[in-house]
Amino acid sequence: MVIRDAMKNIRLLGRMSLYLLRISLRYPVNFVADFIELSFWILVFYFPVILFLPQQAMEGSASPVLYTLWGFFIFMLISDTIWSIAGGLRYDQMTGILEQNFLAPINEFIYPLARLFRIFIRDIPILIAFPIIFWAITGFFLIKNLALAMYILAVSLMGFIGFGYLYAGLVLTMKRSAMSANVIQFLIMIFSAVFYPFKALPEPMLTISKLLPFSYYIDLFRTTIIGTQPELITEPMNILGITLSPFIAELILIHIFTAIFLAIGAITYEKMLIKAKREGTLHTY
Amino acid sequence: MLEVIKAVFKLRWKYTVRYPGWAIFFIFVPIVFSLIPIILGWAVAGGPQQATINFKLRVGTENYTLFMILGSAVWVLSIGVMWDFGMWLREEQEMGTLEQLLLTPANIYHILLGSTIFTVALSATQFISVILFGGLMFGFLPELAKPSTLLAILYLVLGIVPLTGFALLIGCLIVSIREAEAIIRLLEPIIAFLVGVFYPITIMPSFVKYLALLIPLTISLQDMRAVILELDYVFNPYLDMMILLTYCIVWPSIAMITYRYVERKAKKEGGLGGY
Repeated sequence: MVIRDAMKNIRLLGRMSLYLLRISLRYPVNFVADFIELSFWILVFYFPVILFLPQQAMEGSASPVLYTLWGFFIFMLISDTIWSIAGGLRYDQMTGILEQNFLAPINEFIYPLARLFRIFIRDIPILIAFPIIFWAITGFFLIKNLALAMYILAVSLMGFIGFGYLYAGLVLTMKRSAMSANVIQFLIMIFSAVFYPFKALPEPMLTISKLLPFSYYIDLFRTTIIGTQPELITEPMNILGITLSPFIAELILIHIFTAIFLAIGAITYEKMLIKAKREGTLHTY
Repeated sequence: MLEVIKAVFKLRWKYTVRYPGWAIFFIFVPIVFSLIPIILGWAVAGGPQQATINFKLRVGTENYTLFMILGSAVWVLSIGVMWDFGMWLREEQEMGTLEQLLLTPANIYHILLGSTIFTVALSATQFISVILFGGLMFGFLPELAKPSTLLAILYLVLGIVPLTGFALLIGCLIVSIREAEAIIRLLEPIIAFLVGVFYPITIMPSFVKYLALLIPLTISLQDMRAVILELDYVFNPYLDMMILLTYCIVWPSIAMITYRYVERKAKKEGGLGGY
């Protein structure tokens, strides 16, 4: 029974994702813009880096430029989650189809998730092309520990989805999704050191970084794929007599964050949805 | 004429003040945007002091914060003008009021002028706010308190006039293609890249450099930096000014001709009121 329900939900997710993808393909400029836009942003941030580089730095294997590459890579997934789950829900609310869609006999958790999967289907070629474009422009490319990095990425993605549900729940009531999504993105960009190593941050900013769960996701994924030591937890930790290396400590931490995000996200989303249904605000512009 | 301009200005002002959150956002985004290459610079150089040395070696000035904030402010100005003006036309089209607007006995050029003046005023306010907040944050305001800043402002003004023509062209494109957000989203990084938001355009390959010079604010930005930070001009101060003056005539003229064509075509095909 449980397996049959799960299969039904997966099929539904697939169908909804494809239907949303078909809609997005009707806007070719938007689709093409996603590819070209990215390359230019890389150039915009790469050129100033050259101006600051000491001559010998261009030869190092773990150049700070690689932190930009992989930081931007994982940031795209965070950004996708925020925009597609929460922003997409708000868009449907604005266009008036959210209430109608929630009247259909489907799992309400699948609905925002389908929006995310649609984005992922579109973004997979971008994510693959991105390191290649980066290499073509900058000459820097390095992948180590690929399997482990992908595992970390998967755990991170679950955490981002949990955050997406939490944010979606809030957006249903506070409405100003575009502005708050921009603010959240910029805070992550700066304090979670998306474009630069954490060691570049001044001490007060680093303290704030250490308080943000997203920092740990970015740090662990990035340092794993580059093959360096984590930057946020730098010393081995001793918990209940067990010594944890910085890598293991951060790995455990991101699992805890993911569990918390998923739990809080699901509860908030469900509560806010019930509230919106009760107050009749699902269709409110 | 003045009444139409005033009415359009007032209308657009009312729309804008209803969403004050964006104003705060547009002031801080360029500052945050500038922080990224600055911090990245510290990271690659190995600290702020070494960053200053490396930057001076390659660009010719130690004041990289002013260099970058200035670039960022000019970028937000150009994006602001394009967003605001381009999206205004599209929003009027989406709401179905563009067709009504064109049916009024007011001269369309007066309406466009009213909207342009509003857009420029709004974007110029953003520009000044970014410079002021950035200056307070990084302490470069005293460097701007000198007579040569007036010359820098002149270069900026000469860049803004053709930019409005450029924005009208984008508006025409948006009215024709409709995917307004995608076009503007695409233009944001392209403009940032071409105007040299965080770097002098001299480091670009020469064909890209000449392409960049077609954007009016590229010359304005480079020459503003040249005046304030005593760097090199694009060509020389007089030639640059002549080019900008030429752009002041050429860009708005091209835009007006294109607008007339797009309007006539849309009227004939009934696309003005189309969502």
